[in-house]
Amino acid sequence: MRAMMPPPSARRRERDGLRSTVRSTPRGAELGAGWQPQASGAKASESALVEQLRSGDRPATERFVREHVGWMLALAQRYVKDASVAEDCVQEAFLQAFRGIGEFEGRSALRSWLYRIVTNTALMKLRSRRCAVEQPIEDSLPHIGPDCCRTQAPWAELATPHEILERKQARELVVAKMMELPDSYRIVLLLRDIEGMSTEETARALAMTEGAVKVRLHRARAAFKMLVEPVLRRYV
Amino acid sequence: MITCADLEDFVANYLDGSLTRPKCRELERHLDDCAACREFLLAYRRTVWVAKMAMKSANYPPAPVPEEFVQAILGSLRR
Repeated sequence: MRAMMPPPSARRRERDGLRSTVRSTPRGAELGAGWQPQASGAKASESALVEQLRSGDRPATERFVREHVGWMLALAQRYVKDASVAEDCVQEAFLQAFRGIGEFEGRSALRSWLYRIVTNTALMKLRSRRCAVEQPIEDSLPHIGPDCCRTQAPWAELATPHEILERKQARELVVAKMMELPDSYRIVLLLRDIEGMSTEETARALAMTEGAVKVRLHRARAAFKMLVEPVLRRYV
Repeated sequence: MITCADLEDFVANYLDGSLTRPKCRELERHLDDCAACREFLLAYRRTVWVAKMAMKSANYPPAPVPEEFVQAILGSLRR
């Protein structure tokens, strides 16, 4: 099963896209709740699967797509939000994966490899629509008075992380609020705090300076904190 | 002398350990004196942690994927 090869310029863009954006292997925690590190037996069966995919084995390809499409779609949607754009990302990611499977060296698990491809595809999509006007974030930033002092009203006592996360409604609200952040802030937060990338890796992925990543990260965290304040407190 | 406004500029570096030692000490002195910034920093850290945990558990198990989408992927791979 061979996908039609794109023209050389597109191949170059694709390769550069992969290499100039997310290169690091995602940590286990970022691979989702279902991720397990590979045992040696699993590694051997993954090598066999890679061989099947390389040879164009149709049933193996279908199993592979069905096994991974769900989490890939959820991951893409975190970045691009729009469901149909997320579908485009995933379809494109599978095409890239099958074009590149010949070069897959097995240094990381297939899932980690796919994870990087989906993330990069989603970032490329976002980059292509960067001109869209974003909602300002200023209203959600901390209030500092003219005397350079914090002016927030005192909050009720903080709930413990355990208290917060055991409430399904609170977890859902946290995720929903994350999706409310403007793209340019949400993406930095996702890459840096959720995926666990370093500032340097995030800067490389977004073609920004490290200084700019730090400033945007702080603003994103501060705005996000303001958005989720109600679930952080004990009075709710 | 660090103010609440300065803390805004330094907090990301402070948390990732890249703030210089003298600046760290200044910032910590400010935190000793300023209850509002202490509370802000605690809630800020908690927000980061809660976000990570909530996003990790979100979408697991993933929602069912429409069959026509799976078929569209398989179709594009066969082309």
